[in-house]
Amino acid sequence: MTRAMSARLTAGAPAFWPALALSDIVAAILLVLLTTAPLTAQQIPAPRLDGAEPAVRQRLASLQADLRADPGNGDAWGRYGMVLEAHTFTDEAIAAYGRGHELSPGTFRWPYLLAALIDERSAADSLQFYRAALALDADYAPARVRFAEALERTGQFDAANREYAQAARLDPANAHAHAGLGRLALAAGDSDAAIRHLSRARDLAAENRSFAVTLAQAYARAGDRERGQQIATAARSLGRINYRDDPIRSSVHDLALDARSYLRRANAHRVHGELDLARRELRAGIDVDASRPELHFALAEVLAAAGDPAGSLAAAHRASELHPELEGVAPFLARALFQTGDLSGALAKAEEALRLDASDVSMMLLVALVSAERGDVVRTVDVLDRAYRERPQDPPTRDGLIQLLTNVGEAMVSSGLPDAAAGQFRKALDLAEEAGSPEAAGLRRRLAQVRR
Amino acid sequence: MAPAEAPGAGPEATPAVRFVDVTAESGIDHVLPSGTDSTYPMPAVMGGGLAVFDADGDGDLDLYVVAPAAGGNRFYVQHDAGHFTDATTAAGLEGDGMGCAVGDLDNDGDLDLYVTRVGPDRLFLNDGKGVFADRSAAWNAAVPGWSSSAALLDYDRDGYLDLYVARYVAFDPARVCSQHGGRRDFCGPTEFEGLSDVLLHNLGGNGFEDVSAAAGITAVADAGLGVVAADFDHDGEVDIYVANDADPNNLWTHQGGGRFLDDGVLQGSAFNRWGNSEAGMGIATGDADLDLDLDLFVTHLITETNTYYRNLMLPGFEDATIDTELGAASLDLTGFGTAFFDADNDGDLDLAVANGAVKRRPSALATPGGVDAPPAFWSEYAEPNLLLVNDEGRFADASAQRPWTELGLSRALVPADLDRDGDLDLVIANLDGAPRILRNLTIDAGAASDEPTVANWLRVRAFDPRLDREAIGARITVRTPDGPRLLHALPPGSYLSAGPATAHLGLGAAESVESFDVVWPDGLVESFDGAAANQVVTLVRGEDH
Repeated sequence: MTRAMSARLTAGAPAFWPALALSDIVAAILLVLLTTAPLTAQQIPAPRLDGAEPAVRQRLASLQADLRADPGNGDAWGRYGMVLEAHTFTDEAIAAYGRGHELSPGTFRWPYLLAALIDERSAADSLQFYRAALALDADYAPARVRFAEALERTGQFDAANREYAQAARLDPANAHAHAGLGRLALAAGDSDAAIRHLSRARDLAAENRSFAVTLAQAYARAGDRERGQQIATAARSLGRINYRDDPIRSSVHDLALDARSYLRRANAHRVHGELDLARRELRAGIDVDASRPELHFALAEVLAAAGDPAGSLAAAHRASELHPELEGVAPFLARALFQTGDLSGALAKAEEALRLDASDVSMMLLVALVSAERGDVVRTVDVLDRAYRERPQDPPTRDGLIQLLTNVGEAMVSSGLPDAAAGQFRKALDLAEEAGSPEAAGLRRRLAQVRR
Repeated sequence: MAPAEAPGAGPEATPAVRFVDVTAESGIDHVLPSGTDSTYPMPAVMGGGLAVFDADGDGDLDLYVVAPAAGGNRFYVQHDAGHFTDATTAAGLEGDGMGCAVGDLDNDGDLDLYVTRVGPDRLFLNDGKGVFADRSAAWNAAVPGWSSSAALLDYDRDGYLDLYVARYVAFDPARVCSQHGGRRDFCGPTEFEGLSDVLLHNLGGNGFEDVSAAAGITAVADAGLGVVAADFDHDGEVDIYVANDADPNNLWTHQGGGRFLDDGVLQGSAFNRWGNSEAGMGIATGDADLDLDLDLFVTHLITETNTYYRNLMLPGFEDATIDTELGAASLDLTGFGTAFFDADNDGDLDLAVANGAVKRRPSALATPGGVDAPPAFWSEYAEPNLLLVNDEGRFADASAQRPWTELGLSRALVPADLDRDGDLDLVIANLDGAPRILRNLTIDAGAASDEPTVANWLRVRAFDPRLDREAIGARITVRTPDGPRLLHALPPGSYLSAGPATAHLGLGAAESVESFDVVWPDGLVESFDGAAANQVVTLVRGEDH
């Protein structure tokens, strides 16, 4: 327990633990575990709920009623802790898990969830609860890995190493166990062992950025900066959130009922390509709070990916109504409307998107396409020139611009305007050369022909 | 400055380093307005900047505090030792902002002021007497978007200070964020797109040119908050380290010719030991392990530890937070401003950290309406600050007594010897509170004792007469009886802040040093004779022994 924690009084703490800091809470939990004095129903930890969403209030009230009816039910206390934790009421959740552990001493998940929550504030204080959990189920590898990580955080590297190794034996596919072994090897200066373990972790969880960047660093330490740089560059495309295969901990977060939690869960499903599950979460979130534009927009994206353009368009329109400047909505709608053939609508949304972000080349291309479709050559050329001056870097947009400039150039040749056409080919060639594109050679030849 | 109160006896053993809050009698009573309201505007919880510098050239340090709310900035001139007067209007320094940087941008011998903002930044040039003129437009200094911290460097070694401006996110005030079962709260950086940083090249003291794209720093657009510029690998080129909020930190290594490459991942300073990007806020830099290179310390969000990156000179760093025992004290706090400084003048670097949550804490630490309570709005956000004392490479939490137990929303933090008694005091900016001045009692304790002092000190100023200013970036190795010590002429930047570039060295019981070896920013190496302790030593380029 740190001095900083132990010295602080917490008058804002829940009624169950009046004026207590974490150290006091942990001490009290221990006291509870060592005594048999029953707690009364009035001592149910109740978080501050002003401003909380109705669904959350109702769920907590319901669970509190269950506890008042059956205060000796350890599993009810634990379930209450899970719902509290799911909504980040951490102190109250710690208290509830502690009570659940006391009343149901044979249940693995209550000391495990208690340990994991305390671990967020003090790894040293979490160790005893990890040990208690592992005494009940020594074979749950995710718990053993978390225990090892807590040992590592407290500087007990040898013990951590043993626990990681044990976890890897229990579950050879547990990437976090192999990563822990690699991390300890890297810190000990054994780059070769670090590369071996971290490579295994990365093979098991290719989407995990943390494993990749640590592996890149291990290669750099070993003197192979080139290989390290390759891995680091590839890791840039990975998300910052690393998911763990830990069904017990995941089941906590599934209980969150506030609108943003639905969005968070939906995004997790999207990462794994689970579009039906993502859609279900988003619809449930909208049922909770239909005023959140980000939920509607996420639903629009999911429906588009799932092949429901009409539903997608409706959801995007709703998001735009709620927050016209929500990032990405206007371009999304512009593209969607263009695909449905609503050129006027697409043009209006593209112009709206450009008002919000004047450098969005993809929207310039859309305006150019619609203008060309309508025979508005002057506007087409003008907007393509603007796009050219932006020098787009992402390949699809750049390639699209090169193609459009080329098409306009050909149209100008057909119309007997070789000088104007040469200007378009010149711009296309500039972009192709800058990108090192193989199209550059063809464009160079075409430009020479047009000039002749 | 007279102490406002007797130093409080803490609940644990009496620490070796003691500070006392002397704000009440300093004349500083301005409450730094955050501008927060029921819409939870994100800039209100991130701001709170500070500069400690000699604005009027009279030899003592003045204060400029920067507030997110309109008209919230204040400039205080120090007249009698420890007493300040509000001179904001007379100095022409009204306005708002996030943070600031201080340096002589036109090489005219006085310190100019750059103010970062949520919106165009502002540049104020000093007339030498502490009166400033807004030259933002003329200097092309009005960087758009949300700027946070800024650092001065002379990357092209032309003698004029360039400016690196870290930028944060494309904030959208319409975005609604919540936690704790749907309770509305401030948004975090992941809700918005990050902004690329800006490098301004100084055109001979007459203006800036934005060279960001040519320098290569627009290759990334991360949520930048803290920035320091120094030669971390001793290759003679200045590097730039940026702490990003939830994004990997950048280590821009100068490749020459004004081109920078982000080598943070391979050099081990982009991610923590676990390979995670953290909520980087403030940065402290200094030779904490006394091995003659610059280490880094980055402050972070609650449930993340602050992280100590030990420089291994491979080149590269390792996360040594566990070895130095710097993690546990910070895990339950959200850190912002920080500084390595020798709090007890014993010859090694200690740490101070300014804290304050950006979202409601899982458990509130403050009692609304209680003694020293923060404003009611912040009662679920307020946290205490930290003092961590270096004990042979491990840091002990020495914050058990006042003023460290007091709660608030602290942001910028600058160590500086405000009362010029030979130890480093601290100034800390607080949201919706007055800036706090913590007076260091180390020298007082020594003077009151019959024992020989063990808190000798030197202040070392690296001056370049050709530039008529301190040589920002000069590296100074001081030979002391206890071994060599590394100093840098660097304004402590930390988070949204700026301080004096004159380096401070604690000497413990040593009464003199043997020599000074200086590597000047242009690469010239010079050696200077040693000096007796307890004075300010000015090393003048070209006047070596």
